[in-house]
Amino acid sequence: MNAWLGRNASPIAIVLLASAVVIGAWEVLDAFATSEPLGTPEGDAPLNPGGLIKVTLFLLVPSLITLAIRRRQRSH
Amino acid sequence: MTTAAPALRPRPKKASIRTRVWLDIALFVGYVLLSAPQSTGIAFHEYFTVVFIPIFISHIVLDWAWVKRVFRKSDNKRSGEVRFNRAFDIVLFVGMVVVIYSGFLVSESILPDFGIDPGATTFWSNVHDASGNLLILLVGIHIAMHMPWIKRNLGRIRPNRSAI
Ligand code: HEM
Repeated sequence: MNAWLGRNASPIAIVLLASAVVIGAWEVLDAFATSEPLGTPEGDAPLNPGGLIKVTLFLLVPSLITLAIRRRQRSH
Repeated sequence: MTTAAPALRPRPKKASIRTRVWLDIALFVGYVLLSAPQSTGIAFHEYFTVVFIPIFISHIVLDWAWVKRVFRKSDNKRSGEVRFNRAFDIVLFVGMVVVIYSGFLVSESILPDFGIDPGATTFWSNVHDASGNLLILLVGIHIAMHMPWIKRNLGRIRPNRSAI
């Protein structure tokens, strides 16, 4: 594990640095956005397993559209 | 018995395809779970992100050869597909960073458990919801764009097929 981290130190550092840049940019946006405190959270609504199906469908539909477009391009 | 092949081409110090396939499966399952807090509950949603972050970083780091190849400046004559993936994967990366960061800033469970009030605002809540939902579409496209790799390598999760 440590050896792995050592070997990959520079890619990891670059990924973290890139993340910091992204976060910095969004903090700038936040400074200009109008925003209000959110108030107390409502907590969990009753758990609804259907959410997992929703996510899977939302993944599947764009995937299938992309695959269809790729296939058409290939056959040209 | 298979003999000399590995000696002819010394293996680069690179994660095996098998490791990467397993990691990608974990990433996918983890991502689906994370994208449905209404099914898992907010506490799981927040704590599981801590497991997800190293998996996500490894997903990029273990394919660093791709990153280096594709971002090499001198070589700009890339196929349309590679250029699309390059731009798209940057957007995906930004989206992931934003959803994770904004998630912490609207934390209802993990930060309060540690006595930290993130001071959630409507801005970060909107950002978290929008990026979380948009990412589902982006991840779907990302997976489809890499379907040839997935098809080629999915069989390698079994140990005796790991060679390459
Ligand atoms: C890869 C990481 C993450 C993904 C993909 C993700 C995705 C999502 C999605 C899709 C929702 C539902 C949005 C909606 O209701 O329309 C959500 C809600 C929520 N997430 Fe995350 N999230 C991530 C990380 C985090 C983290 C790290 C935290 C906090 C530590 C967090 C806290 C919350 C909270 C409190 C909600 C419900 C309140 C709200 O909708 O603003 N999330 N997330």
